[in-house]
Amino acid sequence: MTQTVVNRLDMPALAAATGPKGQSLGQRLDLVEQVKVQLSVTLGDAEVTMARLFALAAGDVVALDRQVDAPVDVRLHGKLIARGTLVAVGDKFGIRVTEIATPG
Amino acid sequence: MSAAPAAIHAVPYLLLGESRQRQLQERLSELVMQWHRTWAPERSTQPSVQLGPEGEAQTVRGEAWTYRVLSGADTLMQICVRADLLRILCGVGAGEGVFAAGFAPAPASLAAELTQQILLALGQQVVRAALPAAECTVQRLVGTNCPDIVSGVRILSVFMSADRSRPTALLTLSPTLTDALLGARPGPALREPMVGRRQASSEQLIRLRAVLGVATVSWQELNALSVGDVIVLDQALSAPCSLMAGDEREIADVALGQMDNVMAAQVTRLRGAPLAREMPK
Repeated sequence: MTQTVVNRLDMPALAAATGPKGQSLGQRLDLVEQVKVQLSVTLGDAEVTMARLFALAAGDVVALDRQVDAPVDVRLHGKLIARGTLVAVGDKFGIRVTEIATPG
Repeated sequence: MSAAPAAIHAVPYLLLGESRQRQLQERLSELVMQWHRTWAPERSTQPSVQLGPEGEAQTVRGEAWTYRVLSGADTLMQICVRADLLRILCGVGAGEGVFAAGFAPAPASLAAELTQQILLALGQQVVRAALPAAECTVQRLVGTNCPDIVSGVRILSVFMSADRSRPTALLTLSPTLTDALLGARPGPALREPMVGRRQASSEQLIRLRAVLGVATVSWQELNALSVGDVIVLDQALSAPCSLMAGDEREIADVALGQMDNVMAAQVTRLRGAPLAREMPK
């Protein structure tokens, strides 16, 4: 039977470099281009009192702060990044973008 | 006997509300009048008790003596009095009044002794009115010209002479004696009933947000997104939308529609247990 020698492995101590640094990745979106993100589409908000919220029941209607023909919001992590109009794409909802924040 | 100080300064304390200060003034006036009727029934100048001016030091100008009224070791009241109290009150030392023949001019030690007895009577009058079971004694403070005043209330000035610019005595009452004279202070709960936390928060505003659905895209697609593009949502046309409390909690499924020309959401199903049951009563 072969004898295996096991040695202790000491990890070197690391410290962030001080002084001038090398080139950074910068805005290399190509590195993350296949990473998936989730957009949410919101139709509008409403402010209600706690009392009204507790009394909310099936059948109640909550009016939103948005006109019927106003665009809906496209949000990334809760932040508004675009607006668009509601459309149907097959049996699913879709948004046709009408306004978008400049990249950055 | 040591020489009395020329002036005594007392800094007023402001620990009582205005209404209780007035109440205290009236109560003390009544007691001082009773005491005055006993010791100087024939004198024409009736005593009056006034609250000292707010925020200002007061003084009994001229020669003055300071006495403490004690019950056991507790100081209940401090009285800073003009040294000529006897003359003001009884005429002693000024060739007038019923005692004038015997004591004119009154020796200083005798005047001090008589003053102490008279103030003991005042102390007893006030203390017994407030604390009937308490026995009190009077102790003269020697060698101090600033009353090391018991933590008390606004200082009350007592006027017993025609000269209204100069108080005859300054009275300072301890909080214990003040409370005993006026009765217990009403607690906050008596003035304003408490309400439950749910009731108190019932007017708190909460933002609800109607969410149509989500779309999953890559960074590449997001980066290339421009006006005219169509984002397809995961949401089927027949599926309900969500109503969120803030941005965090989904509270209900809703059907979208319009009401009075604005977008509206009708609740079709509440999510989980009713929220009201999760709040403390």
